Amino acid sequence: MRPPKWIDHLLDYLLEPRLYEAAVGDLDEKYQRRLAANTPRWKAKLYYIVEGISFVRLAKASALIPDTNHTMMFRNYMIVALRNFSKDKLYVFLNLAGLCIGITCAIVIYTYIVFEKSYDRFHKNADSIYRITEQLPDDAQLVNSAMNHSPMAPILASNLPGVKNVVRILPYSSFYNCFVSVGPDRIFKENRFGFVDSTFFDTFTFPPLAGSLEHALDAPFDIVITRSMAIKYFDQPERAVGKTIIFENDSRKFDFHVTAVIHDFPQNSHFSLDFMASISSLEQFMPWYDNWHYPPLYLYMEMMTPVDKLELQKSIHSIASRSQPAEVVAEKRSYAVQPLTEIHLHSRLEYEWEANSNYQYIRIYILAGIFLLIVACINFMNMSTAKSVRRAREVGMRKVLGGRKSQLIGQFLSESFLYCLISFITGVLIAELSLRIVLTEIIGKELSLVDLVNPETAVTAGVFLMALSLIAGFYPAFYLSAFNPSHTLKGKLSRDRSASLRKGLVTFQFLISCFLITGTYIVMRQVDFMIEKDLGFKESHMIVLRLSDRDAQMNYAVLKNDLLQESVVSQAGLSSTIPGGGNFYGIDAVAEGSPDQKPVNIKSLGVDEGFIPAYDLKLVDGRNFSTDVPTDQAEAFILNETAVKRFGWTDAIGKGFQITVYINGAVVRKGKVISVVKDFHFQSLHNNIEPLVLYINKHPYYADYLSVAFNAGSPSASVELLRKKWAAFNPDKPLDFLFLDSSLNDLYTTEIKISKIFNILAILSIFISCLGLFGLSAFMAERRSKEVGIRKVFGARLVHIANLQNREFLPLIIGANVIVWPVAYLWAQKWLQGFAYHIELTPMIFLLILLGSVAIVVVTLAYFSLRMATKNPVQTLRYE
Amino acid sequence: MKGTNLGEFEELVLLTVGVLFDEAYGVAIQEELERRCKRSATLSTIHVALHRLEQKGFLDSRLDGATSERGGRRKLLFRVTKSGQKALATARELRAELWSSIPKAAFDLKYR
Repeated sequence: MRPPKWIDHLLDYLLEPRLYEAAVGDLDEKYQRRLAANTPRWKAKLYYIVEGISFVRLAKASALIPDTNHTMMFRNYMIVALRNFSKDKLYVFLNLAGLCIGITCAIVIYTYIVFEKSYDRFHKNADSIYRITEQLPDDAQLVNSAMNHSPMAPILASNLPGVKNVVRILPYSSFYNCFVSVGPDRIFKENRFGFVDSTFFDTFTFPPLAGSLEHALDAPFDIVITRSMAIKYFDQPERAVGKTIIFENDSRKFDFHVTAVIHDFPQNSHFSLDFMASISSLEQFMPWYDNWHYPPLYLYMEMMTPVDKLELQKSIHSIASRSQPAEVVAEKRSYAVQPLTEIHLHSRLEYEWEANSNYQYIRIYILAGIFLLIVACINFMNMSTAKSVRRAREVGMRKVLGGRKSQLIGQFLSESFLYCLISFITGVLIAELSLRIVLTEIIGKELSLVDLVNPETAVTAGVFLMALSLIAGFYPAFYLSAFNPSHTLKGKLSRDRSASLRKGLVTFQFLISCFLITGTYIVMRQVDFMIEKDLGFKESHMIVLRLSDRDAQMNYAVLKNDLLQESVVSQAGLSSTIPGGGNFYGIDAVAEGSPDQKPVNIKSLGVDEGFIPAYDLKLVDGRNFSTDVPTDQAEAFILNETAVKRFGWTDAIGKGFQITVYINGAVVRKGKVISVVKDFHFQSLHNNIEPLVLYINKHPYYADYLSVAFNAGSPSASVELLRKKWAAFNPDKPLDFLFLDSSLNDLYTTEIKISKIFNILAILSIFISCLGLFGLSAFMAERRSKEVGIRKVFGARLVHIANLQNREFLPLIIGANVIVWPVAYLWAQKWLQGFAYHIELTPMIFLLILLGSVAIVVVTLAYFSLRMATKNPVQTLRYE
Repeated sequence: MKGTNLGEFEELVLLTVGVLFDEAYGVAIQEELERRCKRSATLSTIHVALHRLEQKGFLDSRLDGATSERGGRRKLLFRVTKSGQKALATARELRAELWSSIPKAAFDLKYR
């Protein structure tokens, strides 16, 4: 009968009394009328509630923000805080800037780490998918390969209990050229073309965009492509389904039938493909893929449920030894199981899909982020306590008027919360901007905070904000609230007890900054060292052509001779690979005088006569390969110094030598060493120089690179020339070239990236520290103004006074540096061990950093030091 | 200073208050609006409009006329003020003027 009473109470609370009476009256009246008009009771009640609640719109302001004692005090705190903001803008600005930079870095690092950890988690069954990798002996050395052998798949599928799916992925385009076309005008070279099992889409979660993924890869020559490919070849994703694309390279040409289109692979997938063809096509395509000799593919396995990876590893081993052919079992290959979600951060094998991240670097980033936040928090503490003089009277007044200590603590904590909140909001904006504008290039991925918007991050952000304001505000709050009102109100200040703590904190700040600078400096020096080190061959003005199709490989001499006609081209040479390029195949070599004529595995490089002059390699002894000596083609070898040392020879020239080359089967080449080449760095500087043999090999299988040495000329002119010559030589295929010097730099991408990131972090850290120091020097200049006035009256010189501040801070900075030295030294030692060739840690490095930090500090202090020193004593002493 | 424009809904409410003369309060206005203009509005919407009109000085209000139907609570009764009348008149003139300025051809079907 009666309408709900709580609405009455609610409105009583919310509305002005006059309106309340009328509103509830109206609601009651309406309710009665509705009942009278035979509206069902529940409906009338519902109307009553809905209409009642909507009166919130007319609520009085005081009802929404209750006018209790607490809220009134809080409002007062905020007003006082804002007044203080406007009173000392420099101080507020320094504080906010420091916090803001720290928070921005923390947000960016957080975003990056969340992204790195999200790798491969988008698959529905990510937790029960594993990759099986293999350790196999290859020419006397063990290779930890991310790839595996094809026949392992059926063995595992039929013998291993609990297996749901086994998926093989053969990344065809990593081995061979791929040209895809739909007509004469749409032909592109593709480098993400793979063959996959029909179970691919059952195991991995890639939602379809057009067509159905069920049975999409059942028949040979079925293919699924990504959205961007569908657009590239067919303009619209929907149009691609049912169409045919033509696959072509130098040895094969096949038609594939597009059965479905999927979305592009997400950024956080450890592998990505654009074309997924059914693996059954390989029977006609490349039947040898199914062998026990050479591992060409990645092997993934989906289990029914997540399992223990060591258990799984054990069962795989026992199954492998039971089911593999005897000669394979004899090789004692071993298998490792990698959970899918761990591959990106933890797997560092040969033949990975792409260079994975390293969780150790992630740890460094986390550490650096925390460091920056600490530095920013210290700024806040220092400046708040330094400025406490200003607040002393306010604190005294509040206490006299009955403010309790806990209330004052609350006040100062809420102030620090206000600072943190403002910095956080600005920080989010700056972080988003910098992620989109600056960092995309460094990280190589497009990250955005928008992807992080979910309840979990909201909670994290809230907790972070609370914790930060507590850490930053904790000490100032306790310090400020402890003032004795009878002292402060008399205008007599007790000694600044926090001065020594401030000094300690400044030292700590510079400790962190110096550590970051030292680290950065060492990383930078090492990167420069690697880039600039003389590798023992000509690096500049070298352009390397990749000979990718059979015709070009067979007839390379035509192009070479044509190029040598040009005056800007000094030399040109053919080779099976190039320095820094990998693929210096290990081959079996037998050297004269070795015990039992046992073969030794050494690195090899097939070249033509032009290679050594083109790269300007120095011959220690003997002569280059020559066309004038017919036996050179198969019976001459050139070794590097390391190889000579390895064989224990003093005079290598004329020694007998024999290697086994694979050209349509193994061919033994027997001959003599004709010369020794001075060691050169044919691999990255992470590795020591290994023994190497150079021999003539012009067979098309090995004719992969033609290196052209230019005398002079701009890169663009050289490329233009090459383009012209190539067009005449091989008009059907595009010119594929690289600049040797930049491709060598690519060996150090990880280090260059780290160095860039470190650089940014170190600069920011030192910048925040300097902000704090600047604020402190402003404060000290103010406090000591009278002292300085008196000193000047007594005839102190300007230099002397300007030095006052330096004398205060420089010992701290030097102390910080000294503490950093051993820690930085140990860290750097460890890091540099990862490089076979690295810079030496000399005392000079540390001294340089010391001098640098002293210089930065002096510059930071200079402004207020000089202002203090040049002030007219009349002004400072006239007071009273 | 609050603007003294009349919104379309406000104008309707103001007119309705005029129509109801001495019996203009929440429920009555709501029902009148529904009956005459086929506009259904919640009570709070009506009150918001009334509140604004009062602030603009177009309405006066007083508490009176308790009934048992209302649980003995008084009604908030409204009356149009002088400036309210003026505002209504201005609005009407404005429209009339606009109407009279529309060229004949504009609404002529032939030309559409």
